[in-house]
Amino acid sequence: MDLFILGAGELFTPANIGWLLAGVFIGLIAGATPGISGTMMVAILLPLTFGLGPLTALVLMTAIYATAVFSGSITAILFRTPGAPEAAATVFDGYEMTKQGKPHEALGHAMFASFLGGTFGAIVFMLAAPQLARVALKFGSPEIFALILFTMVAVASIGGGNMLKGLLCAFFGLFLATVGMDVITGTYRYTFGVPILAAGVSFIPAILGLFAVSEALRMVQGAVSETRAIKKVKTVLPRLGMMKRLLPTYLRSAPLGVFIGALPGVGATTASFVSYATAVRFSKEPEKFGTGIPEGIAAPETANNTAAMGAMVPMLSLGIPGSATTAVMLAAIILHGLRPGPFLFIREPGFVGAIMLTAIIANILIIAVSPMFIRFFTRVFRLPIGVLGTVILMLCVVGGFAMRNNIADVWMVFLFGIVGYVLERHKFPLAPVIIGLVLGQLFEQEFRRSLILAHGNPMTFFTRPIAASIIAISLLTLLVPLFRALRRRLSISKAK
Amino acid sequence: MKRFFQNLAGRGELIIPLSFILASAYLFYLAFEFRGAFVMIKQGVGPDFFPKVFTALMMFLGLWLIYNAVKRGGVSEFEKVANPRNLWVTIAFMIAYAYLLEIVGFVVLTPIWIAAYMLAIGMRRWTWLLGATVIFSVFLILVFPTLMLIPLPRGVGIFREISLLVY
Repeated sequence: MDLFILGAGELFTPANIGWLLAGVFIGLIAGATPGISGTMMVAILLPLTFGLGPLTALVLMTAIYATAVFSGSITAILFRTPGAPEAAATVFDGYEMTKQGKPHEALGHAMFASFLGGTFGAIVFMLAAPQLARVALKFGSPEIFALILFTMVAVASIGGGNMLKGLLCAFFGLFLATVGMDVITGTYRYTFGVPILAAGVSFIPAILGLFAVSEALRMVQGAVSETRAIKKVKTVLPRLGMMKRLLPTYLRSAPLGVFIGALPGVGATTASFVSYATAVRFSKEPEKFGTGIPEGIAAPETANNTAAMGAMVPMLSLGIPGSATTAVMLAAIILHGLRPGPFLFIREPGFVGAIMLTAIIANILIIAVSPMFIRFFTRVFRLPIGVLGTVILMLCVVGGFAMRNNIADVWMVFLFGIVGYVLERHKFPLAPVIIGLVLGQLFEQEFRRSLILAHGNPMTFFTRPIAASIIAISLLTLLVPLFRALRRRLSISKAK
Repeated sequence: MKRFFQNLAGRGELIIPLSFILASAYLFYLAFEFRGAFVMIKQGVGPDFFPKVFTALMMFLGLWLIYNAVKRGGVSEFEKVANPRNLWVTIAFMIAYAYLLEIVGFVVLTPIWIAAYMLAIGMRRWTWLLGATVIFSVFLILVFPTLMLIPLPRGVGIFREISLLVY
């Protein structure tokens, strides 16, 4: 509570409030534009903040960070083009709702879940930052490996009704993640002499290609001069009944997100996928995921915003960034002459409190400001299909190029677009490809790191209770549907 | 030719898994060349382990899918391409854009591409053609290379000179 009062005292100056509002506005635009991520925006603004005081600089960056994670979902839901990688999991159900003529509803779910998640994350950040950071550091490589294994299995099992296709796509994604220089031994794998491949297959061009370009290819086959039908709604926020229905999803995703966010080097993108997978696992109707259900939006959107706040926990309390954006923010803190770590809480409690308060206010402003943004973006949606397809293609080109400033990524966007189109036409789900690619590198690294730390003993995965429990749940998730199918087949053959 | 492509697409249940099997077999073979430092491998697994595991599993699942497809008759259910012309036109325009981007540059290529592409896919209302081309080109050029300082290609020769006038 002291942090809160001291923080309020430092934060509420006209300059800080002005920069906070500017940060919210910039974050919403940056997050919603493919090719401009929150990380990029914070990095670009870093030199500009030298003229500001340390607190004002961090207020601006925190506001951008908190809102950009949410607004990536706007284009993910409307155009199947995630504005930020954290919103990739939102595409699965968000875009399906848009196809059903309910984009307002989908955006409302994303907005409310982001607000809830972000506010929850910021409050946890305020109340238990040092303790959470210490617990997170005890979560080692075997546990992270187990968590990713669980995510892969849970998402592959939804596989559009065909688990085999889902698994094949998941392994395809995991395989793509092995391309490039092996981070443990430095060996080049599948680079075929192409320099850009040494850095691996970037998942941004893959996401844009598989989701957005493939959709543009499908869109332009229809009547290009027509516009899409959208149902009119009075409010974009979910109704009370719906909130009650989604309560278990919020309650599950928020703590999960904040914890994953606090793990160094894991981040909000992973959190959103893990949360989605957990929602699938705990759902009574897992087959409905991917068809446009609110749970499929609420789970990743709650988790990615809580994770973004969670990533600030190790940054401030230990000086270890939890994500790429917090790494830039850490640099800003150091450049402004402050030293992150446990002593920051003792020496500069007002500074820490003000950052935490900024995070809470920015998340509240998501609810206040976003409806205006959503109304604007849904108007864009009323463009003729031909124009919309062109807009999507161009944003994909720029978005793909902007990540590494390399023309090879533009080729990659188009190649993945064609692959995605062909796979989807034959009912091969794209979600497992993306999840495999995004999580693949971490999956491999943590597995191998675990073995190295255990001197090659694979029992390390089964002697640690958390890792063993998660692996057991993963195996059950994989084997139970197969067992059920086998039993059904046996009972049919017996009846015959 | 059209019938050939339709038949080919109808056999997607066989062709896609088969493509996965062939590609995976080749990639599995390539993985034998990946060798890491001996100490690292002794205490864990080498850089070849996961590529081999994933490609082997892709081959296995591909075979399983083919087995299932053959049992069902091999023809997949999928929606027919409503306007195959626009599909091929889009793919051709995408390839042309990626190829020309470094030569012509972003500033010159983008408006020409947008207008030509919309015309090619059947947009005929000139208000949309002109409006979308101008507004969207200005937006892209203003936001990405100018405001965000993303070094989008400037092209070569005269195109580079034109690009330098803008960013």
